Amino acid sequence: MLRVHELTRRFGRLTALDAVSFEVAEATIHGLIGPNGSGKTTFFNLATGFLAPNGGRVFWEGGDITGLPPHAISRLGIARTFQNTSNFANLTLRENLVMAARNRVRTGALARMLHLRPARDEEAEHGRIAEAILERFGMAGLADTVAADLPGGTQKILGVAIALATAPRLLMLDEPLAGLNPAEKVQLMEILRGIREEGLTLLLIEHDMKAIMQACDRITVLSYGTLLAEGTPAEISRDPATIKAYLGTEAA
Amino acid sequence: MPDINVMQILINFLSLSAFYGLFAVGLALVFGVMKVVNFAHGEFFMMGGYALWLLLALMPGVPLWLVFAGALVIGPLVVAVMGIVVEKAIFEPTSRDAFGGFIASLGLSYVLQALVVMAFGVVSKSLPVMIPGQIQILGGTLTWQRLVVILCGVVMMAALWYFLARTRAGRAVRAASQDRNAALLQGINLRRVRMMTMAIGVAMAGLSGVLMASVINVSPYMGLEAIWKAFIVVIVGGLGSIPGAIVAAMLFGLIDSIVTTIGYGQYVIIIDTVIMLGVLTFFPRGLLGREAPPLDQGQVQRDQFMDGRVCVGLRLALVTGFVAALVALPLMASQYYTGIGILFLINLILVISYRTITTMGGWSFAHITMLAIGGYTTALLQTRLGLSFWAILPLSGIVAMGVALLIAFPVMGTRQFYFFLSTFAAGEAIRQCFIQFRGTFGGIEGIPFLSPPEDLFGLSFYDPVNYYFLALAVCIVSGALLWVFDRSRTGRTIKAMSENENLSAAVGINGLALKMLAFCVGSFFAGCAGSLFAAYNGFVAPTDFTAQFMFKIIAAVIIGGTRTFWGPVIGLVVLTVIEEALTGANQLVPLFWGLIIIFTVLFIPSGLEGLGRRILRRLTAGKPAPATYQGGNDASRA
Ligand SMILES: Nc1ncnc2c1ncn2[C@@H]1O[C@H](COP(=O)(O)OP(=O)(O)OP(=O)(O)O)[C@@H](O)[C@H]1O
Ligand SMILES: [Mg+2]
Repeated sequence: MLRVHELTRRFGRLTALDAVSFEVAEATIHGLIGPNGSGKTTFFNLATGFLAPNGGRVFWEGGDITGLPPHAISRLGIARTFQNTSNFANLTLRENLVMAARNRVRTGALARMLHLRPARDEEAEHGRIAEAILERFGMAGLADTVAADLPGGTQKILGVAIALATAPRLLMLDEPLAGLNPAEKVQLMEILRGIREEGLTLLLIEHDMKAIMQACDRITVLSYGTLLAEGTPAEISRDPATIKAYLGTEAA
Repeated sequence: MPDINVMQILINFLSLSAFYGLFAVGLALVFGVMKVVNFAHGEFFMMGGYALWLLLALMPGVPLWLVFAGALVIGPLVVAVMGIVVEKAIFEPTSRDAFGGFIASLGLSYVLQALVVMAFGVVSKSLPVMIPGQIQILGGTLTWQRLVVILCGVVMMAALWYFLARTRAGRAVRAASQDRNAALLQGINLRRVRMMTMAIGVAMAGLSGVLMASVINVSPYMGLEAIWKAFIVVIVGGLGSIPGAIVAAMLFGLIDSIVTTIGYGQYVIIIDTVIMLGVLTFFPRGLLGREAPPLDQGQVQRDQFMDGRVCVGLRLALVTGFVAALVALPLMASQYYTGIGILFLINLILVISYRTITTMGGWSFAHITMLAIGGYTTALLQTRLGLSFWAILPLSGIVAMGVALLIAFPVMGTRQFYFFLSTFAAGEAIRQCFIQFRGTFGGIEGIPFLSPPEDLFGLSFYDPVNYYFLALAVCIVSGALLWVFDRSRTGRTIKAMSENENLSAAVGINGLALKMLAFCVGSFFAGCAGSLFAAYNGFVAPTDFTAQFMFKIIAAVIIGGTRTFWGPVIGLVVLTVIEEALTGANQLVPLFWGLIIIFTVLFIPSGLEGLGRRILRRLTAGKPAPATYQGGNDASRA
């Protein structure tokens, strides 16, 4: 589905990503792991058009999407979350999800600008979709709460809900479990597996090894910007290079 | 083909670059540390000029060169002290809200101008040549005066370099301008560094003021005329980059020197602006601007402004009352007030449409230019093509929208301050086009003898009361359209996008297109207002479309607040009342406006609408709600 070829990005003298190539298969949960600063977030930014690569290509379902602006990539069906909490802080949860439903818009620009009947109806429809998504994430009662009033963990989950509201086919999540309590983690992983069952593809950056090993179908390991290993969770947990990278930097 | 004197070009290049460098580097230095564009930088330049003029007046009989040398020391010192006062009074209290600080400095600029006008008069003073004489070098003429400018420029740059690179204090300044938090961690006293930076930055403006005082005349508005150049230089160089400012100063020194030496001096502003727009197209952060800030956006502030609603009935009553008052005005009041009313309505269209632009997060300084474009379109279509006013009215809006699109294309990729500064430059360049291309636009006299709209339903618009109702109708239709736009899905998306651009892009919202849309929609209505303005006045002239006029629009929006549709309306009503109350003491008007702006930014950042809302809520609901809005624009976005 998503395939990158020799993707490279430099920041000054630092090579944050060095000729990385791999592919995410349809309807799988793909894990992207690696020590801090190994270039995972940079990979997300390159794949979703937030940064331009210094070299290499990004392909989506066979088409070259390198260099497209982020909103265009989003409209092709790739949704992403940010490592830091990110939402429309002063909107309610329902409004947040309706705002994110841009890809579902079918009415004309003029109707939306002049707040005409079709646009209002469509927006109400998106409100119902938003409520269904909130329900799924166990936030049905919070639809009219302003996002900034939520506790940190719930805002993090809201980020995933926002991404899902864009009607994506690939969901790229940057450390979705960070900042969640154990119960929330279990609940979110459950939801993510449910999403995969529906045929969506997921690409997860995660530091929580247990969650990653349990949930993922395939795992890619980055270290200092290079691709260290790739395989099933069982293969990765036995891979000597990966073990060394993690022991070398994160053993403490 | 004019005779090209290469040596003269070189000499002019050196002296112009030295001046631009001195002036603009101060601005860049201040921006680097404080992350605020100091709009009043030009007024510090002006004060340098007045320092020299005062010294000359106080010491008759003393040799000119001695007074000049004294002013070169005293001028920057005095200005530096004022800079420190301004830092303490305005920039430090607003340090968490870069945009607020910028707006306050805009108010300060008008306060300083007004004070100087009151103290020394509007009339510009021409000073004697300080150091007469000149030498010929290889066919070029170098006056001693210019040599002093060049020497001062070189010495100051060398001193600044030494200070920044070799002294402890200078290293602290550099650290603070690179990374505020890291500097704090290193134990750098940020307040001291800010004070020092401000003092040095404005002292450089003061010094260039002293140097240029006898070359250009000393006047209260010399700063406003000069600041334009500093903006262009720092934009092209990259905001906050000192090497960038120097490179850009030399670039424009060269361009301006060539252009003036071969005899096209009057087109300098236009040529420079076109170059600036060209540079921005390819380098949205200027030639040496830093790499884009990291993608992670700071936590967006919770804005409690919108909590709780003012009850619908009360709002409806207020709006109905306002419209009723507008309808009643010409029926009850004298002809004089009908005239005031027409201008008020035109301003009303301007502030409402201006707010539409601000919702996308960028503050344009070209709104009055759009008014001018609408006005000139009306004048040209009427005098050249003889079209009917009723066709011209929408066409004026469309032409303004088209020009907005042209400016927007290079400028929209930039953010916050770049947007403001480059629209400022573009607006000035367009005004210069009106002045310079006499054949088309009639030069400084403009285009006279425009007729009012043709009769409609037997109503003649020579009658001011009828014209008033025409303006009211246009105003209500524009207002209604913009009100709907504001509430529409698109309008709300624009606001959400300006709050969190990254997330918007990630969910498929085309931020660039929405910003252009807001800019074009706002400009369209400004263009229509221009058509009304021209037809009412009976002429268009560049002198009607000044920075002061623009300032009034911004002041109304700031004082009223931008959060709701009605904020700017409230602001404009208050400004108009003040203006009328001060008739007879006209020079006090900018002083009052400036002071009110500074006061608003410092004490009621949500504007009068926020204040009014709180009061209304307390009256209707009886429960107090805290208003803790902290300006949402963080400096890293500049
Ligand atoms: N915009 C930027 N400018 C300069 N350097 C950057 C930028 N973004 C990332 N880097 C650098 O690139 C490297 C890779 O960063 P990245 O954020 O991709 O790591 P990561 O794998 O996501 O780490 P973490 O697990 O901490 O989130 C880091 O050294 C980081 O400092
Ligand atoms: Mg990361």
